[in-house]
Amino acid sequence: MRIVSLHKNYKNVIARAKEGQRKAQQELYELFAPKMLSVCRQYIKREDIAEEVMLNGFLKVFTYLSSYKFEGSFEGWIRRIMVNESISQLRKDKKLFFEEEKAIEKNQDLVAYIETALEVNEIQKIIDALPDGYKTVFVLYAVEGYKHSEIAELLEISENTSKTQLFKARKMLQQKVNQQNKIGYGTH
Amino acid sequence: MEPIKFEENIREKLQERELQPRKEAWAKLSAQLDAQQPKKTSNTLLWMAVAASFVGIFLVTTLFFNKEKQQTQLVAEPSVEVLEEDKQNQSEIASEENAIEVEKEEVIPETEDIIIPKTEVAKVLKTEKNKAVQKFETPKEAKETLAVNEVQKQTTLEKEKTNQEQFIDSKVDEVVVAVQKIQKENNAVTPDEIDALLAKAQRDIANNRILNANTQKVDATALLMDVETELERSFRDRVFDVLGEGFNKIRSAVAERNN
Repeated sequence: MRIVSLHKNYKNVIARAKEGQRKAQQELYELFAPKMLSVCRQYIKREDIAEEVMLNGFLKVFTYLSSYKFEGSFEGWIRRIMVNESISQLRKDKKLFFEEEKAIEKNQDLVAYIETALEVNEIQKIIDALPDGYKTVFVLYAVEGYKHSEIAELLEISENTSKTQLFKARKMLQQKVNQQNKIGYGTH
Repeated sequence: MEPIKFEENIREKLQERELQPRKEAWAKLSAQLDAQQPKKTSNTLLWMAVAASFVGIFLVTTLFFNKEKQQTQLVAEPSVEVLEEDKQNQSEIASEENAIEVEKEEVIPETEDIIIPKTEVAKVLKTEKNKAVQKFETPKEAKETLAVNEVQKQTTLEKEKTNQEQFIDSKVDEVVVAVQKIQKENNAVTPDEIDALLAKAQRDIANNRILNANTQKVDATALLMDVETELERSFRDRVFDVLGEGFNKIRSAVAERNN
Protein backbone atom coordinates (compact mmCIF):
# COMPACT_ATOMS: atom_id res chain seq x y z
CA MET A 1 0.00 0.00 0.00
CA ARG A 2 2.86 2.31 0.81
CA ILE A 3 4.32 1.74 -2.61
CA VAL A 4 0.99 2.56 -4.27
CA SER A 5 0.69 5.85 -2.42
CA LEU A 6 4.31 6.66 -3.24
CA HIS A 7 3.71 5.91 -6.91
CA LYS A 8 1.02 8.53 -7.04
CA ASN A 9 3.29 11.41 -6.22
CA TYR A 10 6.75 10.21 -7.09
CA LYS A 11 6.94 12.83 -9.83
CA ASN A 12 7.46 15.31 -7.08
CA VAL A 13 10.09 13.06 -5.54
CA ILE A 14 11.87 12.79 -8.91
CA ALA A 15 11.87 16.56 -9.21
CA ARG A 16 13.46 16.92 -5.80
CA ALA A 17 15.95 14.15 -6.53
CA LYS A 18 16.88 16.03 -9.72
CA GLU A 19 17.92 18.93 -7.53
CA GLY A 20 20.25 16.54 -5.75
CA GLN A 21 18.19 16.22 -2.57
CA ARG A 22 19.52 13.13 -0.84
CA LYS A 23 16.27 12.36 0.95
CA ALA A 24 14.35 12.30 -2.32
CA GLN A 25 17.04 10.10 -3.86
CA GLN A 26 16.71 7.72 -0.94
CA GLU A 27 12.94 7.65 -1.41
CA LEU A 28 13.36 6.70 -5.05
CA TYR A 29 15.96 4.12 -4.16
CA GLU A 30 13.76 2.50 -1.57
CA LEU A 31 10.86 2.53 -3.99
CA PHE A 32 12.64 0.90 -6.92
CA ALA A 33 15.67 -0.96 -5.50
CA PRO A 34 13.89 -4.30 -4.81
CA LYS A 35 12.52 -4.48 -8.35
CA MET A 36 15.81 -3.40 -9.88
CA LEU A 37 17.80 -5.90 -7.88
CA SER A 38 15.45 -8.50 -9.30
CA VAL A 39 16.20 -7.24 -12.82
CA CYS A 40 19.94 -7.45 -12.27
CA ARG A 41 19.60 -10.81 -10.66
CA GLN A 42 18.05 -12.19 -13.86
CA TYR A 43 21.37 -11.75 -15.63
CA ILE A 44 23.82 -12.11 -12.77
CA LYS A 45 23.89 -15.27 -10.74
CA ARG A 46 25.82 -13.98 -7.74
CA GLU A 47 23.57 -11.90 -5.55
CA ASP A 48 26.33 -9.69 -4.14
CA ILE A 49 27.49 -8.82 -7.66
CA ALA A 50 23.88 -8.27 -8.74
CA GLU A 51 23.50 -5.84 -5.85
CA GLU A 52 26.72 -4.10 -6.81
CA VAL A 53 25.45 -3.74 -10.36
CA MET A 54 22.14 -2.38 -9.08
CA LEU A 55 23.95 0.23 -6.96
CA ASN A 56 26.05 1.28 -9.94
CA GLY A 57 22.80 1.50 -11.89
CA PHE A 58 21.29 3.81 -9.26
CA LEU A 59 24.41 5.94 -9.28
CA LYS A 60 23.84 6.43 -13.00
CA VAL A 61 20.13 7.05 -12.45
CA PHE A 62 20.87 9.91 -10.06
CA THR A 63 23.72 11.25 -12.16
CA TYR A 64 21.65 11.39 -15.33
CA LEU A 65 18.30 12.14 -13.71
CA SER A 66 18.26 15.56 -15.33
CA SER A 67 18.03 13.87 -18.75
CA TYR A 68 14.78 12.16 -17.72
CA LYS A 69 12.04 14.43 -19.10
CA PHE A 70 9.03 12.62 -17.63
CA GLU A 71 8.38 11.03 -21.01
CA GLY A 72 7.47 7.37 -20.62
CA SER A 73 7.46 5.52 -17.35
CA PHE A 74 10.17 6.28 -14.86
CA GLU A 75 10.36 2.62 -13.92
CA GLY A 76 10.98 1.69 -17.55
CA TRP A 77 13.75 4.29 -17.72
CA ILE A 78 15.49 2.94 -14.61
CA ARG A 79 14.97 -0.62 -15.80
CA ARG A 80 16.82 0.06 -19.03
CA ILE A 81 19.72 1.52 -17.11
CA MET A 82 19.80 -1.63 -14.94
CA VAL A 83 19.73 -3.92 -17.99
CA ASN A 84 22.59 -2.00 -19.61
CA GLU A 85 24.56 -2.06 -16.37
CA SER A 86 24.04 -5.81 -16.04
CA ILE A 87 25.24 -6.44 -19.57
CA SER A 88 28.25 -4.22 -18.97
CA GLN A 89 29.08 -6.32 -15.93
CA LEU A 90 28.79 -9.56 -17.93
CA ARG A 91 31.06 -8.09 -20.58
CA LYS A 92 33.54 -6.98 -17.95
CA ASP A 93 33.62 -10.50 -16.55
CA LYS A 94 34.03 -11.81 -20.13
CA LYS A 95 30.98 -13.99 -19.74
CA LEU A 96 29.29 -13.06 -22.96
CA PHE A 97 30.23 -15.27 -25.88
CA PHE A 98 28.10 -15.51 -28.94
CA GLU A 99 28.88 -17.84 -31.76
CA GLU A 100 27.71 -16.62 -35.12
CA GLU A 101 25.31 -19.31 -36.18
CA LYS A 102 23.21 -20.16 -39.18
CA ALA A 103 19.48 -19.53 -39.29
CA ILE A 104 17.38 -21.94 -37.30
CA GLU A 105 15.76 -24.70 -39.20
CA LYS A 106 12.03 -24.24 -39.16
CA ASN A 107 11.34 -27.90 -38.46
CA GLN A 108 12.98 -27.68 -35.10
CA ASP A 109 9.79 -26.95 -33.20
CA LEU A 110 9.85 -26.74 -29.50
CA VAL A 111 8.36 -29.60 -27.53
CA ALA A 112 5.62 -28.61 -25.13
CA TYR A 113 6.58 -28.06 -21.55
CA ILE A 114 5.32 -30.45 -18.96
CA GLU A 115 2.26 -28.89 -17.38
CA THR A 116 3.58 -27.05 -14.42
CA ALA A 117 3.53 -23.61 -12.85
CA LEU A 118 7.03 -22.99 -11.59
CA GLU A 119 7.68 -20.84 -8.59
CA VAL A 120 9.85 -17.80 -9.21
CA ASN A 121 12.78 -19.30 -7.32
CA GLU A 122 12.63 -22.40 -9.50
CA ILE A 123 12.45 -20.25 -12.63
CA GLN A 124 15.51 -18.32 -11.52
CA LYS A 125 17.34 -21.53 -10.80
CA ILE A 126 16.65 -22.83 -14.30
CA ILE A 127 17.65 -19.53 -15.89
CA ASP A 128 20.82 -19.42 -13.81
CA ALA A 129 21.75 -22.79 -15.24
CA LEU A 130 21.75 -21.42 -18.79
CA PRO A 131 25.00 -20.19 -20.36
CA ASP A 132 25.23 -16.40 -20.00
CA GLY A 133 24.83 -15.79 -23.74
CA TYR A 134 21.61 -17.82 -23.97
CA LYS A 135 20.33 -16.48 -20.68
CA THR A 136 20.89 -12.84 -21.63
CA VAL A 137 19.12 -13.11 -24.97
CA PHE A 138 16.29 -15.12 -23.43
CA VAL A 139 15.67 -12.71 -20.54
CA LEU A 140 15.92 -9.68 -22.83
CA TYR A 141 13.45 -11.19 -25.24
CA ALA A 142 11.03 -13.13 -23.04
CA VAL A 143 11.06 -11.08 -19.85
CA GLU A 144 12.03 -7.53 -20.86
CA GLY A 145 10.23 -7.66 -24.21
CA TYR A 146 13.14 -6.47 -26.36
CA LYS A 147 12.99 -7.10 -30.12
CA HIS A 148 15.73 -9.05 -31.87
CA SER A 149 16.94 -5.84 -33.51
CA GLU A 150 17.26 -4.17 -30.11
CA ILE A 151 19.03 -7.18 -28.61
CA ALA A 152 21.41 -7.27 -31.57
CA GLU A 153 22.29 -3.64 -31.06
CA LEU A 154 22.65 -3.95 -27.31
CA LEU A 155 24.84 -7.03 -27.40
CA GLU A 156 26.65 -6.01 -30.58
CA ILE A 157 25.65 -9.17 -32.40
CA SER A 158 23.67 -9.84 -35.55
CA GLU A 159 19.92 -10.25 -35.40
CA ASN A 160 20.37 -13.78 -36.66
CA THR A 161 22.65 -14.63 -33.76
CA SER A 162 20.06 -13.19 -31.40
CA LYS A 163 17.43 -15.48 -32.92
CA THR A 164 19.57 -18.62 -32.74
CA GLN A 165 20.61 -17.77 -29.18
CA LEU A 166 16.98 -17.50 -28.22
CA PHE A 167 16.10 -20.76 -29.90
CA LYS A 168 18.91 -22.59 -28.17
CA ALA A 169 18.03 -20.98 -24.85
CA ARG A 170 14.44 -22.11 -25.18
CA LYS A 171 15.47 -25.64 -26.06
CA MET A 172 17.78 -25.88 -23.11
CA LEU A 173 15.21 -24.34 -20.82
CA GLN A 174 12.65 -26.88 -21.94
CA GLN A 175 14.95 -29.71 -21.23
CA LYS A 176 15.78 -28.33 -17.80
CA VAL A 177 12.15 -27.71 -16.87
CA ASN A 178 11.11 -31.13 -17.94
CA GLN A 179 14.10 -32.64 -16.16
CA GLN A 180 13.27 -30.73 -12.97
CA ASN A 181 9.68 -31.84 -13.14
CA LYS A 182 10.74 -35.44 -13.50
CA ILE A 183 13.00 -35.05 -10.48
CA GLY A 184 10.21 -33.28 -8.67
CA TYR A 185 7.77 -36.04 -9.43
CA GLY A 186 10.36 -38.56 -8.48
CA THR A 187 10.84 -37.09 -5.05
CA HIS A 188 7.13 -37.08 -4.34
CA MET B 1 1.95 -26.40 -21.43
CA GLU B 2 2.53 -24.28 -24.54
CA PRO B 3 6.00 -22.73 -24.79
CA ILE B 4 4.54 -19.23 -25.09
CA LYS B 5 2.36 -19.76 -22.09
CA PHE B 6 5.35 -21.04 -20.16
CA GLU B 7 7.34 -17.94 -21.06
CA GLU B 8 4.45 -15.70 -20.08
CA ASN B 9 4.46 -17.40 -16.73
CA ILE B 10 8.19 -16.74 -16.39
CA ARG B 11 7.73 -13.09 -17.40
CA GLU B 12 4.95 -12.48 -14.93
CA LYS B 13 6.75 -14.15 -12.10
CA LEU B 14 10.07 -12.43 -12.75
CA GLN B 15 8.55 -8.99 -13.30
CA GLU B 16 6.61 -9.20 -10.09
CA ARG B 17 9.60 -10.36 -8.13
CA GLU B 18 11.22 -8.03 -5.66
CA LEU B 19 14.55 -8.74 -4.01
CA GLN B 20 15.41 -6.72 -0.96
CA PRO B 21 18.96 -5.41 -1.10
CA ARG B 22 21.04 -5.49 2.05
CA LYS B 23 20.43 -2.66 4.45
CA GLU B 24 23.94 -1.26 4.10
CA ALA B 25 23.47 -0.98 0.33
CA TRP B 26 21.90 2.48 0.57
CA ALA B 27 24.72 3.73 2.82
CA LYS B 28 27.17 2.53 0.17
CA LEU B 29 25.30 4.31 -2.60
CA SER B 30 24.95 7.44 -0.48
CA ALA B 31 28.71 7.44 0.09
CA GLN B 32 29.26 7.09 -3.65
CA LEU B 33 26.87 9.99 -4.28
CA ASP B 34 28.77 12.04 -1.69
CA ALA B 35 31.99 11.25 -3.50
CA GLN B 36 30.37 12.61 -6.66
CA GLN B 37 29.03 15.68 -4.87
CA PRO B 38 32.33 17.59 -4.41
CA LYS B 39 32.68 17.65 -8.18
CA LYS B 40 29.24 19.14 -8.42
CA THR B 41 29.85 21.72 -5.72
CA SER B 42 33.12 22.77 -7.29
CA ASN B 43 31.25 23.16 -10.54
CA THR B 44 28.49 25.13 -8.92
CA LEU B 45 31.06 27.29 -7.14
CA LEU B 46 32.71 27.98 -10.46
CA TRP B 47 29.37 28.85 -12.03
CA MET B 48 28.50 31.03 -9.06
CA ALA B 49 31.80 32.85 -9.45
CA VAL B 50 31.12 33.37 -13.15
CA ALA B 51 27.59 34.56 -12.40
CA ALA B 52 28.86 36.90 -9.68
CA SER B 53 31.41 38.43 -12.04
CA PHE B 54 28.67 38.96 -14.63
CA VAL B 55 26.50 40.67 -12.04
CA GLY B 56 29.49 42.83 -11.08
CA ILE B 57 30.14 43.87 -14.66
CA PHE B 58 26.45 44.61 -15.12
CA LEU B 59 26.35 46.79 -12.01
CA VAL B 60 29.46 48.71 -13.01
CA THR B 61 28.15 49.35 -16.53
CA THR B 62 24.73 50.44 -15.29
CA LEU B 63 26.31 52.79 -12.76
CA PHE B 64 28.56 54.20 -15.46
CA PHE B 65 25.70 54.74 -17.87
CA ASN B 66 23.47 56.20 -15.18
CA LYS B 67 26.18 58.73 -14.38
CA GLU B 68 26.41 59.65 -18.03
CA LYS B 69 22.65 59.95 -18.23
CA GLN B 70 22.55 62.24 -15.24
CA GLN B 71 25.19 64.43 -16.79
CA THR B 72 23.33 64.66 -20.05
CA GLN B 73 20.10 65.30 -18.22
CA LEU B 74 21.72 68.24 -16.39
CA VAL B 75 22.48 69.72 -19.75
CA ALA B 76 19.29 68.76 -21.50
CA GLU B 77 16.75 69.71 -18.84
CA PRO B 78 16.88 73.49 -19.15
CA SER B 79 16.39 73.40 -22.90
CA VAL B 80 13.45 71.06 -22.43
CA GLU B 81 11.94 73.47 -19.96
CA VAL B 82 12.53 76.34 -22.29
CA LEU B 83 10.87 74.47 -25.09
CA GLU B 84 7.91 73.59 -22.91
CA GLU B 85 7.52 77.13 -21.69
CA ASP B 86 7.92 78.28 -25.21
CA LYS B 87 5.13 76.02 -26.30
CA GLN B 88 2.88 77.44 -23.64
CA ASN B 89 3.79 80.96 -24.60
CA GLN B 90 3.35 80.19 -28.23
CA SER B 91 -0.12 78.91 -27.59
CA GLU B 92 -0.89 82.04 -25.55
CA ILE B 93 0.50 84.24 -28.24
CA ALA B 94 -1.29 82.29 -30.92
CA SER B 95 -4.57 82.94 -29.18
CA GLU B 96 -3.67 86.59 -28.92
CA GLU B 97 -2.68 86.70 -32.55
CA ASN B 98 -5.97 85.13 -33.51
CA ALA B 99 -7.75 87.86 -31.65
CA ILE B 100 -5.62 90.42 -33.41
CA GLU B 101 -6.19 88.90 -36.81
CA VAL B 102 -9.93 89.27 -36.41
CA GLU B 103 -9.44 92.99 -35.92
CA LYS B 104 -6.73 93.12 -38.57
CA GLU B 105 -9.24 92.29 -41.30
CA GLU B 106 -10.99 95.56 -40.64
CA VAL B 107 -7.86 97.66 -40.84
CA ILE B 108 -5.90 95.82 -43.48
CA PRO B 109 -4.74 98.89 -45.46
CA GLU B 110 -3.28 100.50 -42.36
CA THR B 111 -1.32 97.51 -41.17
CA GLU B 112 0.03 96.85 -44.62
CA ASP B 113 1.27 100.38 -44.78
CA ILE B 114 3.15 99.91 -41.56
CA ILE B 115 4.61 96.54 -42.38
CA ILE B 116 6.17 97.58 -45.66
CA PRO B 117 8.33 100.42 -44.34
CA LYS B 118 9.28 98.35 -41.29
CA THR B 119 10.50 95.38 -43.26
CA GLU B 120 12.37 97.81 -45.44
CA VAL B 121 13.95 99.23 -42.33
CA ALA B 122 15.04 95.77 -41.28
CA LYS B 123 16.64 95.21 -44.67
CA VAL B 124 18.38 98.52 -44.50
CA LEU B 125 19.63 97.79 -41.02
CA LYS B 126 21.23 94.61 -42.15
CA THR B 127 22.96 96.16 -45.10
CA GLU B 128 23.86 99.21 -43.01
CA LYS B 129 22.76 101.70 -45.58
CA ASN B 130 21.74 104.21 -43.00
CA LYS B 131 21.92 107.27 -45.19
CA ALA B 132 19.50 105.86 -47.73
CA VAL B 133 17.08 105.12 -44.96
CA GLN B 134 17.24 108.68 -43.74
CA LYS B 135 16.37 109.96 -47.20
CA PHE B 136 12.97 108.36 -47.62
CA GLU B 137 11.91 107.71 -44.05
CA THR B 138 10.03 110.09 -41.81
CA PRO B 139 11.94 111.98 -39.14
CA LYS B 140 10.47 109.69 -36.49
CA GLU B 141 11.72 106.64 -38.24
CA ALA B 142 15.04 108.28 -38.84
CA LYS B 143 15.45 108.66 -35.12
CA GLU B 144 14.74 105.00 -34.68
CA THR B 145 17.32 104.07 -37.25
CA LEU B 146 19.81 106.36 -35.55
CA ALA B 147 19.21 104.58 -32.29
CA VAL B 148 19.64 101.25 -34.00
CA ASN B 149 22.69 102.56 -35.78
CA GLU B 150 24.40 103.01 -32.47
CA VAL B 151 23.65 99.47 -31.56
CA GLN B 152 24.89 98.35 -34.93
CA LYS B 153 28.09 100.31 -34.52
CA GLN B 154 28.77 98.82 -31.13
CA THR B 155 28.39 95.30 -32.42
CA THR B 156 30.32 95.88 -35.62
CA LEU B 157 33.13 97.41 -33.65
CA GLU B 158 33.42 94.29 -31.53
CA LYS B 159 33.07 91.61 -34.17
CA GLU B 160 31.62 90.82 -37.48
CA LYS B 161 27.91 90.33 -37.49
CA THR B 162 27.27 86.69 -36.75
CA ASN B 163 24.28 84.62 -37.62
CA GLN B 164 23.18 84.93 -34.04
CA GLU B 165 23.12 88.68 -34.32
CA GLN B 166 21.18 88.48 -37.53
CA PHE B 167 18.68 86.25 -35.86
CA ILE B 168 18.38 88.66 -32.94
CA ASP B 169 17.90 91.58 -35.29
CA SER B 170 15.22 89.80 -37.21
CA LYS B 171 13.53 89.07 -33.91
CA VAL B 172 13.81 92.70 -32.91
CA ASP B 173 12.10 93.68 -36.13
CA GLU B 174 9.44 91.08 -35.62
CA VAL B 175 8.62 92.35 -32.18
CA VAL B 176 8.62 95.94 -33.32
CA VAL B 177 6.24 95.13 -36.16
CA ALA B 178 3.96 93.18 -33.86
CA VAL B 179 3.87 95.93 -31.25
CA GLN B 180 3.17 98.57 -33.83
CA LYS B 181 0.47 96.45 -35.31
CA ILE B 182 -1.22 96.13 -31.96
CA GLN B 183 -0.74 99.80 -31.33
CA LYS B 184 -2.39 100.76 -34.59
CA GLU B 185 -5.28 98.48 -33.99
CA ASN B 186 -5.96 99.24 -30.38
CA ASN B 187 -4.42 102.72 -30.11
CA ALA B 188 -2.74 101.44 -26.98
CA VAL B 189 -0.46 98.57 -26.11
CA THR B 190 -0.75 96.93 -22.74
CA PRO B 191 2.46 96.07 -20.92
CA ASP B 192 1.30 92.42 -20.76
CA GLU B 193 1.12 92.18 -24.52
CA ILE B 194 4.58 93.62 -24.89
CA ASP B 195 5.92 91.35 -22.20
CA ALA B 196 4.43 88.32 -23.94
CA LEU B 197 5.97 89.30 -27.26
CA LEU B 198 9.32 90.05 -25.70
CA ALA B 199 9.34 86.81 -23.75
CA LYS B 200 8.59 84.85 -26.90
CA ALA B 201 11.30 86.57 -28.86
CA GLN B 202 13.81 86.15 -26.03
CA ARG B 203 13.11 82.45 -25.83
CA ASP B 204 13.45 82.08 -29.57
CA ILE B 205 16.81 83.74 -29.40
CA ALA B 206 17.90 81.68 -26.41
CA ASN B 207 16.88 78.50 -28.20
CA ASN B 208 18.62 79.57 -31.35
CA ARG B 209 21.75 80.33 -29.41
CA ILE B 210 21.83 77.10 -27.44
CA LEU B 211 20.55 74.74 -30.08
CA ASN B 212 22.61 74.40 -33.18
CA ALA B 213 20.10 74.65 -35.99
CA ASN B 214 21.89 72.12 -38.19
CA THR B 215 22.66 69.39 -35.67
CA GLN B 216 19.83 70.05 -33.20
CA LYS B 217 22.36 69.53 -30.42
CA VAL B 218 22.84 71.58 -27.31
CA ASP B 219 25.87 73.82 -27.59
CA ALA B 220 27.58 73.76 -24.20
CA THR B 221 29.57 76.93 -24.76
CA ALA B 222 26.45 78.71 -25.93
CA LEU B 223 24.70 77.60 -22.78
CA LEU B 224 27.50 79.04 -20.67
CA MET B 225 27.45 82.20 -22.68
CA ASP B 226 23.73 82.41 -22.10
CA VAL B 227 24.36 82.83 -18.39
CA GLU B 228 26.60 85.78 -19.13
CA THR B 229 24.08 87.53 -21.35
CA GLU B 230 22.85 89.54 -18.42
CA LEU B 231 26.20 91.24 -18.37
CA GLU B 232 25.63 92.40 -21.91
CA ARG B 233 23.04 94.79 -23.06
CA SER B 234 19.77 93.01 -22.79
CA PHE B 235 17.56 92.14 -25.68
CA ARG B 236 14.74 94.02 -24.08
CA ASP B 237 16.72 97.23 -24.09
CA ARG B 238 17.46 96.85 -27.74
CA VAL B 239 13.80 96.33 -28.56
CA PHE B 240 12.89 99.44 -26.67
CA ASP B 241 15.56 101.24 -28.60
CA VAL B 242 14.07 100.18 -31.89
CA LEU B 243 10.50 100.82 -30.86
CA GLY B 244 11.41 104.40 -30.07
CA GLU B 245 8.46 106.55 -31.06
CA GLY B 246 5.80 104.03 -30.15
CA PHE B 247 6.56 104.45 -26.50
CA ASN B 248 7.16 107.99 -25.55
CA LYS B 249 8.44 107.35 -22.10
CA ILE B 250 10.68 104.52 -23.08
CA ARG B 251 11.95 106.38 -26.08
CA SER B 252 12.86 109.42 -24.07
CA ALA B 253 14.55 107.28 -21.48
CA VAL B 254 16.46 105.36 -24.11
CA ALA B 255 17.25 108.52 -26.01
CA GLU B 256 18.61 110.09 -22.91
CA ARG B 257 20.78 107.14 -22.23
CA ASN B 258 21.97 106.89 -25.79
CA ASN B 259 22.75 110.53 -25.91
